[in-house]
Amino acid sequence: MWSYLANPERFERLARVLTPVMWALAGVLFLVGIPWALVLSPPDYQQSDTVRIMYVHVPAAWLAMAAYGGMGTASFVYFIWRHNLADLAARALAPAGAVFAFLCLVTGAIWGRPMWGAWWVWDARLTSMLVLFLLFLGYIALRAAIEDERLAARSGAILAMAGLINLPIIKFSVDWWNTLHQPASVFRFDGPTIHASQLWPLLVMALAFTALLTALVLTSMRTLIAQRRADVLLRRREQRLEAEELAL
Amino acid sequence: MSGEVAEWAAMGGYAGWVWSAWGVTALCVGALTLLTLRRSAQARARLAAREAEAKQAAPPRRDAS
Repeated sequence: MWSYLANPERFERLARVLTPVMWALAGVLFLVGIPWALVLSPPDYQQSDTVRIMYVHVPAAWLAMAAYGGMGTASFVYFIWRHNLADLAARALAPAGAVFAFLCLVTGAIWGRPMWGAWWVWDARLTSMLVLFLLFLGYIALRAAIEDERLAARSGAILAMAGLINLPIIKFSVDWWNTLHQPASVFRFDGPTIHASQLWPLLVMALAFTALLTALVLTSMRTLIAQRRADVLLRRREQRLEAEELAL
Repeated sequence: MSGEVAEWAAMGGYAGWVWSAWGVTALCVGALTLLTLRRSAQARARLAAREAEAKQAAPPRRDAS
């Protein structure tokens, strides 16, 4: 599959169809998910209406982790097989991942204040999520700091792969350490413990965020490809003008 | 009717928390979407201009001699 998609023209053909489909899908899912989460779903018997924060907090957390997983995987593919598109995918995932991780932290703090009585605690789940956010920022900063594109791509790939170790730490932090954060209630071996009236709107919101992330990444990858092509054409033009000057 | 809406908007007394969490999400996701689309449009316009230029320059210019 990697080598199939590594062909930029084939990717472009696929992305041209897939990108608008994903934008539309995200729009439709948000149109369903937002009223379901804000109006139709019931308030929680313990947390009252603050549980509605869950419908943005949890998808943001999942998608931040998925974005990092994708970034790490793409970096691995780039590092081993040198597929340029894999590097573009990693680059495109970083800003979206950073925004989702940021939203997870901010909405978590807004939820934590009324429910726990604290905006922030240095607990394993919260701290590992903060590390994820900083990994995204570090990756973006590293790539921006190195001018040589190939070197930037390779260094970024190493950082992204090393940071993958943080994903299982985030997932299992609520089991391994004593923490204020509640344990998993959806992805459990014995099935979800959250009621269907809250699980369904949560899943729709998560799907909406997933479609949005896919649309954002595909759009950004095509932007990067267009920029690269424009740069090549600019360089060719400069060479041609130089050659013409020499000919005079 | 408006009483029902007001009651819903009050979010069981947690209006400030719920609406600020949703608000910051809408703001960030909206900004990310707009920036991504704007950069895409700019990159495409730039590429189109370069491609038009390259096509024009493809036959060697006569006034160069």
